[in-house]
Amino acid sequence: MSTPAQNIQDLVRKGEYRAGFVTDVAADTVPPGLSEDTIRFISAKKNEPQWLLDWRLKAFARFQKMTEPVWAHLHYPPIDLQSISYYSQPKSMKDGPKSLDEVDPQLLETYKKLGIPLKEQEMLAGVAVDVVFDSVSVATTFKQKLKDAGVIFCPISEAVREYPELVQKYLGSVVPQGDNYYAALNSAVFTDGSFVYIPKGVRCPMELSTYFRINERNTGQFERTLIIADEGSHVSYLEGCTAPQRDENQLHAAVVELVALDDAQIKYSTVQNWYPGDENGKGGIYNFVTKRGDCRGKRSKISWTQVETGSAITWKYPSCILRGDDSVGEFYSVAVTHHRQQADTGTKMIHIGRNTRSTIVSKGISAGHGQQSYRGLVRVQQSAENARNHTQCDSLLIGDACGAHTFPYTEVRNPTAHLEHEATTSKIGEDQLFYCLSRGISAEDAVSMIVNGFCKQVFKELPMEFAVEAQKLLSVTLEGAVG
Amino acid sequence: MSLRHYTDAFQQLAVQLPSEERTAREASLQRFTQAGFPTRKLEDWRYTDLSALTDQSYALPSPATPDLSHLHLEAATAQIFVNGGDGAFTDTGREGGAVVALNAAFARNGLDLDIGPGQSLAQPLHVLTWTGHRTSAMTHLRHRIRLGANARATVIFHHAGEGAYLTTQVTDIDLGPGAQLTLYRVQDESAGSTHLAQSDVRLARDSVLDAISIDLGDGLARHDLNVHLDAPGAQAGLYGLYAPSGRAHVDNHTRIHHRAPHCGSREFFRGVVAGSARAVFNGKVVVHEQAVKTDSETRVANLLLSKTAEVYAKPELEIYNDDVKCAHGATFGQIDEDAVYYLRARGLEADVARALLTQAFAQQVIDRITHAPLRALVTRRFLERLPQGAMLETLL
Amino acid sequence: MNMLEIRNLHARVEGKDILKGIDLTIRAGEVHAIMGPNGSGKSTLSNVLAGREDYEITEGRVTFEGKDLLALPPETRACEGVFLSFQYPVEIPGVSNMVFLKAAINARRKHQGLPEIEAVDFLAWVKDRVKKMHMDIKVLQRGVNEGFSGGEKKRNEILQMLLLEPRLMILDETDSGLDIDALKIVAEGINTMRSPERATLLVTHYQRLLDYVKPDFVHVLAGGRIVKSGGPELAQELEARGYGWLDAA
Repeated sequence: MSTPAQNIQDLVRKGEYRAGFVTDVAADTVPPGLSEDTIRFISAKKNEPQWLLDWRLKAFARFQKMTEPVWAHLHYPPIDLQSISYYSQPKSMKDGPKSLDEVDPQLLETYKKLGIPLKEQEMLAGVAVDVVFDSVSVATTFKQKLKDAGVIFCPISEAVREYPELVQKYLGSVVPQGDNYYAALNSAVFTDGSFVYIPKGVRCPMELSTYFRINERNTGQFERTLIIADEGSHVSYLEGCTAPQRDENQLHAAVVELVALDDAQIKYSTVQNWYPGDENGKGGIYNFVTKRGDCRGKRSKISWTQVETGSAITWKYPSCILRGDDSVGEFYSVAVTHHRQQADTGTKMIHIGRNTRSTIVSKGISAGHGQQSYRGLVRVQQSAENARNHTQCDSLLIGDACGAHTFPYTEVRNPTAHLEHEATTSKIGEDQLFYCLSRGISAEDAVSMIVNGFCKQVFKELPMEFAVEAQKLLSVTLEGAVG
Repeated sequence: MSLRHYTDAFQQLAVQLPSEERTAREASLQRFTQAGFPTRKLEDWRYTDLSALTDQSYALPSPATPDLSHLHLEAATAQIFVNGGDGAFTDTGREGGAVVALNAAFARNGLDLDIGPGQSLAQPLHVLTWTGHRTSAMTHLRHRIRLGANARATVIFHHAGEGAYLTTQVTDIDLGPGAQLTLYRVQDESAGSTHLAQSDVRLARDSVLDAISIDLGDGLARHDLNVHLDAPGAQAGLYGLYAPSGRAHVDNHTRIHHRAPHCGSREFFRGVVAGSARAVFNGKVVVHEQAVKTDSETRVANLLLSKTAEVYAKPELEIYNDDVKCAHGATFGQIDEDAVYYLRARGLEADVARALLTQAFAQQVIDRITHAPLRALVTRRFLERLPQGAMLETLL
Repeated sequence: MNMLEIRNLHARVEGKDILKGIDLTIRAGEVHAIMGPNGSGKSTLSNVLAGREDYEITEGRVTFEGKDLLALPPETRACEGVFLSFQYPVEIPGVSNMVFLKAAINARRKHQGLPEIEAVDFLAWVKDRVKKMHMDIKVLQRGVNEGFSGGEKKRNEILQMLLLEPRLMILDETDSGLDIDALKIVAEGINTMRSPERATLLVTHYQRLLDYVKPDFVHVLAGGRIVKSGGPELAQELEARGYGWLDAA
């Protein structure tokens, strides 16, 4: 007879990654290597203005003086940045982004397989999608409808040409070029990503979403996303990510910058399902991402929600700079590490303005040989009268070979601050499991139920369609890791 | 970087040493000079910068006979080390960082306590270290405590001094099976002092450590307390109160390693931070693979009393097996204004009410001190440092 | 002489007007009950009289034995003899009841120009009152209200009242959360304090307490004003008919 614990172990071993296929499409891929020439090549390929090339080169100069960070609780061999190709685009995209009708059917098929129909009649109602394939944006849906509302939603390379003053004003204003090693690298070589501008007082009429796909071998994806919510505007933005199943590791080093002006609200949701590698830790994406939101305006609000099931290595800390008085920052996270996955993730809440509030809810699930760390910083600066923070940070362990770690930094320089941090770590409840089994529920379903219950607080922050998606994904990952 | 003053001081010391000890200590000194004083670039020293010590000049201490009657403790056996005392220089070599290496190069023997199996110490041992000198001097002490199986002891380390000085204290403690140690540490060093301490405690099966640490000093103080739960059933309780004011800087780093099944650890620290003081708390619990059925909880709460006070807290968990129950919590806040109002509605002046509530907050750690004269001493010293504390003294 | 005079009192909390013109006079020896539905401003009135700082007085005045009460900080009011029995007494871990009581009594004595109380006398006196309230003597070593049940907290409030011997006793919903035995003990405590020199203001939602502590006057507070005043029979009427009929009146 097998015990519940053994059942879980069996389940954990199965594992399946459903987005692991490769699209066989002819691509223009630059030879591997990183130098000023690479940057000039990318910039030329994108027809960029001189200021942006100069900006990239400046970032590269900074980058060359920096060293890879080693403080994270992660173990991986050194990454050879010279062996990566920094630009790849499907041959059919050679003449730049086209209208949806002209997009290569093979690409459309790829997204359909991933559950992202792009054809007009099949589009998800109420969700505008920008899809980025390796280094280029393939298509953006509902462009006209958004334009009518005054909302700009387009690939960032297009924004550079069409809205240079906005891009120039905000690019790098939240994550400076030299912010950290990977952000500097991204600033030098970023290829595509989404640009969003919501004008004053506009409530974006639909969810905006970007779907990132890495396809080509030996390439890295360096996307850059910039979202600006002008005074009194609201936007909800979602991103999804997948990549083929390969034995080599591929690098994904993105930068996301959010700016919320007075009374603006940005809700940013991520379902990250990059290829996690196999059960022996072979292959998978190295996900080194800098995401930061600047609550620049009074009463502004930025909310991060992330469901992280993929990647061999995750290094990411979506953060909020609470600069405006009465601004609010939120971070809701579910992260799963399974097989040999490693994640070092969390958030930073920097309280600068008066009466600023932040909430952190982090749910970590470790299975197999997964190693997961929550790393968070809550800083209350001297100027931040009456700052409030509540942090809840829970870890669930499934199987005796995994690890869960918690590194919360708190820095308080104002006596009116009120902060509470709570963290717990425990194994999945055998009592709960046994109770379910004794009522005839299968071990898989029971684990799935318990884990979904554990994550509920975060899932409820996701937009409806994504919440369902996320729950399914979690189940699949834990079928590969839970029920 | 210049550590010249330290190497010069060592040369003066070296001539007094037998050659083999000199060789061992030279190796320690070399380890120290190679590493240098830790800087904020090191994660473990992120909030405490010792680089200013690099160019400081501290002389070797000379004997003194200060009046220490105000530090006398009833119902305890005193062992006093003035300016490093006159212990031998026989203890050499030890793994560790720069501070331990510095200590190993210079340290005299301090407390050397060995309690045989089943024996108990008749009354608590009051180990008083006092440093004071006309010029800046440095003292380095090396302490050892060994408790045999089922032995019991209470040891009170009490650190005080006058003027500007550097002192390092390195303590090694071994608890045999079933042994029980109550370890108090009262750090009450002077405003010009730098106090660097490291204590390592190894616990055998079913042994129990209760460590209560009180930081009242006005200088820069750092204590690294490493607890190794090496055998099943070992239990450690770490309690602490830090109450820096003025320009004091106090840094408590605790590491609890769970290396065996069925061990428990509790950690309960409170901070009352006033003036332009800084407090750092880093409490790490590491649960190693084999340490199943671990039960661990860490709580740290902080009260900031002024606009220029700073607190940096980081309770950490590192867990490498799934059969555990671990939790930690950290809070930062002010005095509960509802409670202030309640006290005022019963006739207490506002600032007395605040002082009383501050004292009550600290009391929850002070009450852990079961040695009554020590508890009284700590309470008195805490109140002396509290605005309006004098008014409370008559109350309590 | 009038002990307490409230004239046209207006108060607001967090920008919301709660009291909108209260007039009330209480003489020594009298027991007044203020009744009213939830949200009528009963607790606000109690707290304004005790001196809670979250409340902003926008109009009106209050004199206590000829002094401008509103100009005094809460602790001076307490020392002058105003006592509020809290609806929700706070828990203060780490401050023992004993320390707390001694602090409160000595603060009052100091205000009166008296020396601090002798420890031995104090202990005997406190023990006697603790017994009167049917409380366990061990309670004195525990933190103020720490881990007390709702009923224990209320009894502790009355114990403090017995020890502090105030001139004006304001009892804010003291009967809520009490079972019948506890209610009787609390009522007895209040009754022992009744005297020609003292006055009592009972603030309550229910008539229940008034069965045990007979009021001389009953006032109905609604919408931040006293809408009706009368004798003890008014309380009976409220019990029988509820507060609804007052809106119609």
